[in-house]
Amino acid sequence: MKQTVFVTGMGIISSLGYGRTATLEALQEGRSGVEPVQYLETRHHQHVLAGEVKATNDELAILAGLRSAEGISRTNLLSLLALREILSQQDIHAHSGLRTGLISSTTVGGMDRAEHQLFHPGETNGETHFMHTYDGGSCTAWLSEQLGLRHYNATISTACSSSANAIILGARLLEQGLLDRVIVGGADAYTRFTLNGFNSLQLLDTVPCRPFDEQRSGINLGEGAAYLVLESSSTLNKTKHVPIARVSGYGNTNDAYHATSSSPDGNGGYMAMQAALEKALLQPSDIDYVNAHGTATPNNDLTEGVAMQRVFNRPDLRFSSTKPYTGHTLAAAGVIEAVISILSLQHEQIFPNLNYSQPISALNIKPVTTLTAAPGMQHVMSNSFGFGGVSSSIIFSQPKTHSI
Amino acid sequence: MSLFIQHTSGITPLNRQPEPLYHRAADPSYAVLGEPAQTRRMCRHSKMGLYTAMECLNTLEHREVDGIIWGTGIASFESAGRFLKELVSNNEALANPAVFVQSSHNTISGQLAQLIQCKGYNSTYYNGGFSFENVLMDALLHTMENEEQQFLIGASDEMFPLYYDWLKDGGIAGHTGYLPGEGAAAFLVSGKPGSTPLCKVDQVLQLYNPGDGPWLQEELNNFLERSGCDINDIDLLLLGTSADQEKDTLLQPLADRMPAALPRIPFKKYCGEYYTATAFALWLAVQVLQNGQYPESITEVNNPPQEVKRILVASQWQGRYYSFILVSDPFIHPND
Repeated sequence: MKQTVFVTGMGIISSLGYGRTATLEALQEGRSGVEPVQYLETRHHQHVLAGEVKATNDELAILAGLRSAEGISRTNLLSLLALREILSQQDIHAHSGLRTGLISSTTVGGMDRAEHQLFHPGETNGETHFMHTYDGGSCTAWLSEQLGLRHYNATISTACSSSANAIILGARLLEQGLLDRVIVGGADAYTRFTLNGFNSLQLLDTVPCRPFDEQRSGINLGEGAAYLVLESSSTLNKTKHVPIARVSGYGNTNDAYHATSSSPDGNGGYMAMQAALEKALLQPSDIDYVNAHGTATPNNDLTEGVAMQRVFNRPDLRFSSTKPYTGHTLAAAGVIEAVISILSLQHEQIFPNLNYSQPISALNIKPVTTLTAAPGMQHVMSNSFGFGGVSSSIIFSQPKTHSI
Repeated sequence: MSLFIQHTSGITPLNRQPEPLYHRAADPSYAVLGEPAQTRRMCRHSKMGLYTAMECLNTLEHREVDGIIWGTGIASFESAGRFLKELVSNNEALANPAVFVQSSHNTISGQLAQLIQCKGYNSTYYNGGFSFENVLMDALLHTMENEEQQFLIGASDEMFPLYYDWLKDGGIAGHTGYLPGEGAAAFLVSGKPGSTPLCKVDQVLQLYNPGDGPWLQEELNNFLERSGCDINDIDLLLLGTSADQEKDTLLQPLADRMPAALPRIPFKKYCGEYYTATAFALWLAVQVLQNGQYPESITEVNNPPQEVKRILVASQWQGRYYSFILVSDPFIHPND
């Protein structure tokens, strides 16, 4: 029998702080983590804003219980902290005999160490060469070692939908019974590589980003990591964990239009949302809130808006982008927003879209702009799109709406 | 659950003398990929991946598949390395957006979707020595979900001077063992055999850092048992040793314990050492099953070719990533 997939734990670190509580408080208070650049060494620090995690690598290492940050990428320090939050809630090795996998995701991997060594060739002699920690596989391998996991691991890199696809893959492996429990998520550190790359594409805003606003003019980048523990229904019977949400539907499609921009009709996103609804056996009217991809680029928000109009066909659709809080955390965005979506379900609240004042004239839907109570909330959809036309959408539901 | 391979194509260093420092695959004419203005902007890694994928698809009347799954250990590192070096040399004053876009790890699967207008499932694995194993597992999972679907899957990694230098600086390559290498391979797969299946992949298993030999042996025994066979049923071993004692410390003894008469090909001798070398091994397995003989340039086989029905790929990467892939004749009878 096909297994149902539950979320039983989560950990998060972003510019909003470390942990679910800090994240929830910032979202409820409408407090953004996007600020002038303080930690990344870059000549652009006066011209851009970013959602940096407010700590140096050494401070992150100490927080994670490591002796030093030497030889460890910032991406992995962030991952380890998010995973540590999960380990403080549950023992992922309990109930021996369960097949536990790890699916991580990243775009920059250990890029920060490469930058550090190449920008400072003289000072970094004696450090482990950056090639040992550069690729996505080496990041996930290190995390597998930290967690003591030896079986299945995977690293997905599908640009800004990477960690959404990690959640989807984890859910699929559990549904088919190939794993019993899987830790899914991803991380990206803020680097000069991504800052200069997005800057060269003229996709960055110099003021706080304004998703779904007529005057929006680009992204604020961010950094962070988050992971979820997914367990199948049979595993839940053994662990007796109390599920906090259910992964009820998902869709992974491709816009097949352009490397860095979406088609005018938002076809990729439209198909991903439709596929997620179909998988969850839900009607569009069943969705109580959409956590949109909402990067605040002119192209994304217009085409995602068009796609949401096509799927939901109602002007009172409740949606928001939470990127003004965290910045766009690239590979980590999907899972950071999954955590936010689950917090929304748990607390029956919709977190407002910050920095919004003027509706997009071509759309008839508007984001939620105040903290809004949503009693009885059942289903939340989270969208993640990216370079290469990748389009993913996931539906998280109250665990109690489903009998185990 | 089996994954039927209906077609394959590869760009490999197989029939080419290695260059002094590494194996280099023979480049086909990439002009077929599009107008010169388009192909000029693509890096070689993208061209290798796209070319081999398109060649695989050309066997289909309409070039339609339900999804695309790609794997790469280092992706378009030539673009990423170039972007990075330029940032350093001009101290972030100038950055080339086209090079940045090419450096996205999922550029091949994204470009393929656009080229053939494939709007279905699209994913890229960037997982070191397990990148291709992740691809196979995802494809097998799709056959469990819906065996009718047909997917284009593959893997690619490119070797070039800057990458070689950095690997050497890091003590990762250029010291002992087989030379570094490169290659791209694509496969058209489905849960259904179709009219002319070339072979089937029965199972894939990956083990990270197995620690000791007995555990690896036990996992292999269980792996074969799950497919209803044991090591005596294997007709050919494609062995992914590195010719580096330190890295082969678990895999070589495992191979040594197998029947002495079992023919074995140390495949990295021919393609070189790289993250997705197991995609080359699967491509090679298809050639052997399809043609009933080894390619001419494969000279290092301990026994003459006999009838080959089942091939085991057993590989390791850096002495930490271990994988087994079982490939068999598509029409194999359980008692064969």
